[in-house]
Amino acid sequence: MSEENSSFNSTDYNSTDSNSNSTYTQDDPFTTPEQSSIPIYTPIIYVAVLISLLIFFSIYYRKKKFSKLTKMKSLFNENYAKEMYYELKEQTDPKINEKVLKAALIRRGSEAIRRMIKLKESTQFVNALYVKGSIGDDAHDRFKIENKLQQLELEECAVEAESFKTGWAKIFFPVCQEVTMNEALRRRINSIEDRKEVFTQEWINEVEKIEKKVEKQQRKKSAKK
Amino acid sequence: MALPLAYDSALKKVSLDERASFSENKALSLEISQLNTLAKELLNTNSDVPPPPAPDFFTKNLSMMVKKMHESGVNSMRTSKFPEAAKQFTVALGLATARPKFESFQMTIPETLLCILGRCDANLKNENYMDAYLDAEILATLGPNIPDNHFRKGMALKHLGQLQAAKTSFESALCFSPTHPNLVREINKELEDVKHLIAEENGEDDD
Repeated sequence: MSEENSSFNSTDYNSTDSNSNSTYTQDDPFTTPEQSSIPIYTPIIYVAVLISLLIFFSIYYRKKKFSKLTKMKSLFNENYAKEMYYELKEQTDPKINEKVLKAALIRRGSEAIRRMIKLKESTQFVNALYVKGSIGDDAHDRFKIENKLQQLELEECAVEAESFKTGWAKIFFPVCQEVTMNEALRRRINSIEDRKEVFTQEWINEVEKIEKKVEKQQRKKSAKK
Repeated sequence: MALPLAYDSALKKVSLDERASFSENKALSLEISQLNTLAKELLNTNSDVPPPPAPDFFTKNLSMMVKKMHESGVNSMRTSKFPEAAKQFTVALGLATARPKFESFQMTIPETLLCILGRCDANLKNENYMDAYLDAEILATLGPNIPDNHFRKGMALKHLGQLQAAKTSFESALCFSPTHPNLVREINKELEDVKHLIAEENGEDDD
């Protein structure tokens, strides 16, 4: 029995052996891996294209953002104090008196402080409105950018003050603050005359309106009679 | 864009260019006038940069002058010379506002307010209600927690025929809890009066 088994086994082994031999010799395309013909540059090109696309996208995105920022309208009116300072500084014929230039710089600083005060006053409300959803992202961004710009403006003023006299920047801002407040008070007091004119005109208009009304009513009454 | 500016080196003054129209550059001309005032004040000081806004650098002579003018205005009020008093207070106010802009605001404002306050009262007594209203409006803006200021504004408005606004002013005066019993009585009296007048205007009056 054992012999038979062994013989069977042996035959079996033999047969398989012969089979396997035959398969290896046939050269089947599915089992033998084909040699790939991709050049070494392909991954490099792939990476290069990817990176250049990313770069182009970022440039485009930045440009778009930048143009959006430059087109964004400022929250404030034109800063005449700043423009005047630069214009007077660059003027050479006739040369501007140094004290006039300093006054222009103080006015520029006081305008910056006035804007800063206005922004600080409204920060709380702008944030509350933004959280509530009453104002959009655009308005909120504009507000944030304005804040940053004013910060830069203050720094620039400090540098300019330092260029006139070293150490002036320290007392420059307290002085500017006083100028801001004092000028605001003077503007209100000086505008009394203008406001009087406006009110008087309004008063006259109102009286004329009432007179016309009364005339109309009288005419109606006389027509009825 | 360059601003239409001209500079006079003899007077050390900046001005609007002759070719530019005034009406188009109203904001700019206000800026120029403010710059000229500040520059003039700076030129009048001896130091090269303005002094820090400390009490030591507060011009005391000017304060004395304002005080004197204010006192003479108060004296005129006592003798019932109201138009004269109004003029004196205006002069005092002019002196107070002529103070250099870089001096302490904290010390400038009481001085200025006292002058406006005096002028407002003089105008009210003089029955010059338009001027009194304009002064009272500034007072109510700068000292909003003082009931007297709202009362002054209310009185001027009442006499100008702005009854609703007058009513609001009297009510805000009461909101800031006036402590003087006379003032409370006066405000309540005026408030009732205004309410009565409004009702009359609307044809809802029973009398």
